Amino acid sequence: MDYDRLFHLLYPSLHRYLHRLTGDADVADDIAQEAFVRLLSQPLPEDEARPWLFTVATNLVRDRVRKSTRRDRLLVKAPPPTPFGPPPDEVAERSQRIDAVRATLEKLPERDRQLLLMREEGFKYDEMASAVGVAPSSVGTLLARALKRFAEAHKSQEVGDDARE
Amino acid sequence: MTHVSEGTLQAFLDGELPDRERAEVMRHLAGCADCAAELEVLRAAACDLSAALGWLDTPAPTATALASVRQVSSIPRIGPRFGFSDRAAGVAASTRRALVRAAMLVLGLAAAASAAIPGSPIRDWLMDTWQRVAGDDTVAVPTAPAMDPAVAPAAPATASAERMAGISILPRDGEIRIVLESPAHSSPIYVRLIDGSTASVFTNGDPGAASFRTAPGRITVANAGPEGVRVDLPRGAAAALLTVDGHAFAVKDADSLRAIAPAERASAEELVFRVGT
Repeated sequence: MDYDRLFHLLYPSLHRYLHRLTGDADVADDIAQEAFVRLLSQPLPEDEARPWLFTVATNLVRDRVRKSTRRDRLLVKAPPPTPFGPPPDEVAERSQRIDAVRATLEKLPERDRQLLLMREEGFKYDEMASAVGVAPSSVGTLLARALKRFAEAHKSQEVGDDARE
Repeated sequence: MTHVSEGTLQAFLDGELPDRERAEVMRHLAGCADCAAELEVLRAAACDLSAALGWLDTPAPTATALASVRQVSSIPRIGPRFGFSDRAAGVAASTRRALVRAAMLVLGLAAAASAAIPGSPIRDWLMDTWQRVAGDDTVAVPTAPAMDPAVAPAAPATASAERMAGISILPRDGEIRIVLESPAHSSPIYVRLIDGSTASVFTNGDPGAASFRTAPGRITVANAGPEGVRVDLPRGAAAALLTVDGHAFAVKDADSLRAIAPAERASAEELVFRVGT
């Protein structure tokens, strides 16, 4: 297995999936790193590495969610905006959109989130079924319902944001 | 008329149907407005999701992450990692822990010796070895902190340079995160500002079950022992945050440290906390 080549190929997709799933860049960094460290000791054919990594990462997220308690997250104070940065209203709009998407995702059950995000990464139904722990024949139905739930929740989140402005 | 189920429509949309079933669905859609409309609902929902998710994405730190993976996989694990178990190890856990403690003690002694003697060849050897193992200059060679009584906080009587293990990193986009997980109850945490470009974390005393993990701009230390932890933050970092079991303890704002949690001792340059108080 050409580890470095595989890393460059798969890491961006895994990191994106984890960041979208957890909403936390630090957790995404951590879990992606752990999954790839474990891959080092797995004698896998290259074509099995991707589903294996995503399955391991999904399980690690689940373990972490079970163990974590409710915490307040304090963010590091951002450096002051530079004269060359985007205008404040663009920053505010982007921040609002991110919050809306994040809030919508949080409303979905964990399994729905995982399925939707793995579909976005181009996984096949049998791979998704294996990673998430459902029957392959049920993936289509679960996805269809999850997509509709997201669309409805996202729409009402945006309507709510517009009403507050 | 029997309609196509939403699960089958979704599988059709995702290209997951066998050829024969796909052809049947296409024939049905040509004559059923309801199912065609349902397919469009699913297609629009999928587009909405893709567009929405795009707002969340930030560039993945691939290069620095690979360096971190190589670094972490080259450091022997000192006991079980927080939340994860290592099933792949073939060596008995107790034997491995003994070997790893010995290796960390040797590394700590060597680092202390190199810091004590200016121009020491041991330091040069350590730096060269570290660079070859890590393969990336985002991680510096661990060094023991200078024992300058004017700057260093009052250390416990049992702590000494020979019994410290630690790790250093560079900031990510000017920011540093230090994460302590499950430190020993009542153990001290010393935080200070230093000159230089790297942040370092050292565990005092016997490394024991302590484990270190790094990510771009972040050091995580789990299970630090009762003799405590020392955190050095570079004065030049734009911002820094220290958390202990998910709670913010200290931040670096501009040129000074600020305690968020109650501190035993606090100044702009130095903070001392006691875990669990």
